[in-house]
Amino acid sequence: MSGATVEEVQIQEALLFSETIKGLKTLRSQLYSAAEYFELAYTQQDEKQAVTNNLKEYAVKALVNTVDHLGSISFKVSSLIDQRFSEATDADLRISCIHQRTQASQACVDREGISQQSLVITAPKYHKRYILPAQGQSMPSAMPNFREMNKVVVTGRASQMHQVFSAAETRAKEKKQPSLRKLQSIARLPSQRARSASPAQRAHPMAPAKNATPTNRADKRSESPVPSTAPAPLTRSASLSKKASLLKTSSVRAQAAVSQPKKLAPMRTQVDRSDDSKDGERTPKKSKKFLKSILSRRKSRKDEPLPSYFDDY
Amino acid sequence: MGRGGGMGNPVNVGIAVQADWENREFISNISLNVRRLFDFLLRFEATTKSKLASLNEKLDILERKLEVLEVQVGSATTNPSVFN
Repeated sequence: MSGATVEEVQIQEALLFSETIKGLKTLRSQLYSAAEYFELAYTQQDEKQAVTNNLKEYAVKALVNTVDHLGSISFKVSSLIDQRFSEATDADLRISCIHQRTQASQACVDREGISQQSLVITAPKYHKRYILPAQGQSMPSAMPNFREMNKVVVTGRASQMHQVFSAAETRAKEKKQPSLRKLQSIARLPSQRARSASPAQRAHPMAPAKNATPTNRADKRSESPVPSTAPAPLTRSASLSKKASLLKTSSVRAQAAVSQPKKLAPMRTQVDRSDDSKDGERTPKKSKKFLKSILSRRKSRKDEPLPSYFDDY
Repeated sequence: MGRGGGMGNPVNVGIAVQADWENREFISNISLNVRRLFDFLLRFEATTKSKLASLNEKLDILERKLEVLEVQVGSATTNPSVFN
């Protein structure tokens, strides 16, 4: 209702404005016609004094009326312009509000995009030997925390990885769980234990670092990200250190020596090779016994002739 | 415009001159007011023109801002993947 009344008032004001403008337009013709009339009356009538007085009164009234018309029209025009100014200011405010909203939304979108892009992490690929699986946990729990790694940008990659892996190693040490390799080596056969008890490792039981130095050829090939001077080595080198600690005990020392040549064949030393040659001298006696047992079993089953290759033994 | 009466009489001549001066004063007043009215109209025209010019400039700025916003909204609606 208020909107309708405002519109009606505006329409009435517009009608009045148009009427006053029409009155101003007709004022010129009225003044010209009045001037002609008074001129004729002054020339034709005898009472010139009365005509003059009427002319004076008409001129004064016409002037006052003109001023009134012009004043009202100027006021209406100025009010109309002010109204348009206020409307333009309101529109400017609305536009600035919309612009601010768009800026805020754009900033929000940018922030969201930045957060999304920051979450995209290129997980570094490491060798399996560098991953330390924890017992009772899944593999991602045993993996290093990549978010922590990405936090440090200024420091070098090697020091970063060293920190993370040292943290993972301390975690593993706290739980005091044996590594997978250790468990595998414990579960070896006794024959392998006996074979792996090489004199080379017995000769240097108190210096495991010297024993580990020939095996560094594999390290050079795999390009370990952690520098060699690091105080806490990687998980792979942790196995070496654990092996060194295990060498103090005789039983576990043999197990570690057995497990090592199977997985890291190129890491074997020349001393181990000489031990293997000695073992190779022992093996014909064992193989002879084994073949004799097979022969006796086969003779008992069948009386078929044996293949020719058994004659070699 | 002189008043009626004998023109030869110096008294009548004096009255006629006074009336003539009164008429001249009236006309001068009317012309002065008309000139004032004309000055007012000139000033009103000037102020109205300046107001209209400023209003036009303001409307131009608003129009440009609206065009910018329209383009931004159009680009956002044509590329909805930005908001996903």
